Amino acid sequence: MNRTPKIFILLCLVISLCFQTGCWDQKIYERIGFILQMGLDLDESNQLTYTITVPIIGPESSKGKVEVFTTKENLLRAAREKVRHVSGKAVESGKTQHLYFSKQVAEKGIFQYFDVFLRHSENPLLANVIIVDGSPQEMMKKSVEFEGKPMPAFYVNDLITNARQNSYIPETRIDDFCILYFSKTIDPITPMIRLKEKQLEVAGTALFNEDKMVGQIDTHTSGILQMLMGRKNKIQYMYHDKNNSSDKIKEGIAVLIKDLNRKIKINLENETPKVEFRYNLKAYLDEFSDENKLDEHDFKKMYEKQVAQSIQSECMDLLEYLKKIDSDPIGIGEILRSKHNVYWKSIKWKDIYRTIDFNVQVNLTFESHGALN
Amino acid sequence: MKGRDNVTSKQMALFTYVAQTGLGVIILPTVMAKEVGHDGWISLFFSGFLAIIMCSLFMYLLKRYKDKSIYDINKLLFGKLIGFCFNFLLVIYLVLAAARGLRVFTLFLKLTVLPLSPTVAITPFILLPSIYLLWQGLKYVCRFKYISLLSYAFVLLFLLVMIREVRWSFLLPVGESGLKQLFKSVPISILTYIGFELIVFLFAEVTDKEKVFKNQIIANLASMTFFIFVVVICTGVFGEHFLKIQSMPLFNTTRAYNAPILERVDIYLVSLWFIAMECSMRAYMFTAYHGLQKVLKIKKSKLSLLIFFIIIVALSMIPQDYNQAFLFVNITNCIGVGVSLFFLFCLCLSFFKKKGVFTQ
Repeated sequence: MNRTPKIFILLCLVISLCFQTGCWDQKIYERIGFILQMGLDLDESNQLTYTITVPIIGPESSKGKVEVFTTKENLLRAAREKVRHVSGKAVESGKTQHLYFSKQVAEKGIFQYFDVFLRHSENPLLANVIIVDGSPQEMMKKSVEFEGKPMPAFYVNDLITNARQNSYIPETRIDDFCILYFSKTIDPITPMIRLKEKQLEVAGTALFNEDKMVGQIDTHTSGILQMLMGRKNKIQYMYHDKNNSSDKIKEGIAVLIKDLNRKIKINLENETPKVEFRYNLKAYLDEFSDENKLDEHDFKKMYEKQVAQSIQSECMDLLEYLKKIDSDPIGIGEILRSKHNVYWKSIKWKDIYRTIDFNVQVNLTFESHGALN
Repeated sequence: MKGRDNVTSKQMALFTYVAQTGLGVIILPTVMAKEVGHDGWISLFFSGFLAIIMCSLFMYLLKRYKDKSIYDINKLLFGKLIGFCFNFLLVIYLVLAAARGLRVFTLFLKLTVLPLSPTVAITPFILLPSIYLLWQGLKYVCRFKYISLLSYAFVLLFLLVMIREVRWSFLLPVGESGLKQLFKSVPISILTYIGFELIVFLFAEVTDKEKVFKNQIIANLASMTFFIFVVVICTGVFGEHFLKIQSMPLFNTTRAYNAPILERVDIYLVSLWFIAMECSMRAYMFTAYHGLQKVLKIKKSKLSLLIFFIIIVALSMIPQDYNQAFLFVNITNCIGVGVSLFFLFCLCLSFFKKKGVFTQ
């Protein structure tokens, strides 16, 4: 007798759940336009141009098609609302994969554009921050028309994922950028890409001072930078003898450096801090243009030394460049703050950084040279 | 219905642990970063031990009066009228703390998954399990808390995974804020441990009283470890300066995790944490309703329970925005510390007014 009303109440509660699918926050998949890529650019009159790509979800005929919307607004939300006026869908940025900035925008500082991502939990913090060497708007519009390539967002994803694996570009997401920006002791870096005829190309690394882009390096030097930063990624290093005057068409050595063991020694005894990087690298020789006699100890040692010296000299060049542009992605400031705090508090870091005396010691061993000597 | 409020000391320890950790931990890293930068974990270590000492003294007070609850002890110490007034004030604190829990829960729900849904629509659904469990009794409230262990297990697992994202230099140099600042921050960090005072209200309901002391200490130690772990991970991931501008750092940590295969893992983890939040909120709700029954001699009835929840909902709606809500939280937590100090005062007084003190 007593069980009937209880079961009735329980049934009512369970049935009512069917009508409470998110209350006022319900979002119907078919009515939403997912922003997968967002690009910010400046036009001739220095106004912010906002471009997004939205995949078309619908019948089979529209499979793989992508819509591109461009608008000019000062606020990202205002731009999104303007896009909603023409898209016919509730455009949402919860699935944003890539956030592109033109170099002009990046040079003025990009942290301000992350506000909407940090503020609203529905927006992802894991969107990739990418600087475009050129116009993001042009790149996004053209990438939709690429033949034989996947949807732009997937294409860029594959491109940067593969490039990251060989240290040609760094991995920087919104949260990574913000964490470093707020640290005030490590400057962020971001990957760079560019439009190249009918495809996209990874272009290297954009260097920042706080949130302003101050320089850039190519894909080769990006590997060196990541080595200096102590990242454990593998590096595909190409050595070319600059003094070689022979008319050989094929010249050089390709090595894969895997175990990057960084040691940093900081000497603060003098007025100018001395920072020494030490590496014991183990490399796998992939390609070689000289005689196949790497089984001979002296011959192998000679080339090991040459490659090590080349890496050393490239590290030094890069460190000097970083000093020149006032960018500290390696985090020397962070090391001083955390381990030499008394000294850190007694100095003006930005002034001292330019005067640091860097030194790099590289020891390299060809651990393997494949099936040929 | 009597036996339904009886719990074991282990269940009571879980009750305390969840009451302490469910809600406050979400904003804790930010609070600590604002106070002592990256040394928040040291402050929590100090205040954790202070909480354990206070909890031990509460146990000593309760032991002196054997089976009596704080409501009975107050009457013995201060007389019927003043004792009643103190008891009434204690119940008001518990009601406010319950309303605080509900406000914080709805606030985080709106900040994370239901930004557009009005609080009026969300609140009844949040309260449904609590209404049912409060009606059933403390035993069922405690039993339900075992489900919240699933949330803790997942969050701990997630935090362990996040260790690889920690930049340990963000936690260095250890003690940079200085001993003076660290001690100054203890009154703030002790607020995090509020919840340890609930045992004083519910002591009479514990069946194995000889084990309460040990299990309550374990609960406080577990809370301290959990708080320190969360603060270390959040500080190591975000750095103290970034933490200072965040309103829900624990949830933001889940947003910063790039999981393989799964996308937006934060949504799963935040949703799971709602169980712990709800259990934490319910701990105060039960203690407040239990206190009302004891002090005002209100009979447990559907009407009284309904009126109780209407009062809680009404009070929880007083703070209008985020700032007001956290002002409400801070005020209630400060009252909580005041209540704890009042218990210590009772302990001191019990040495002079020995009426009802148990002597072997």
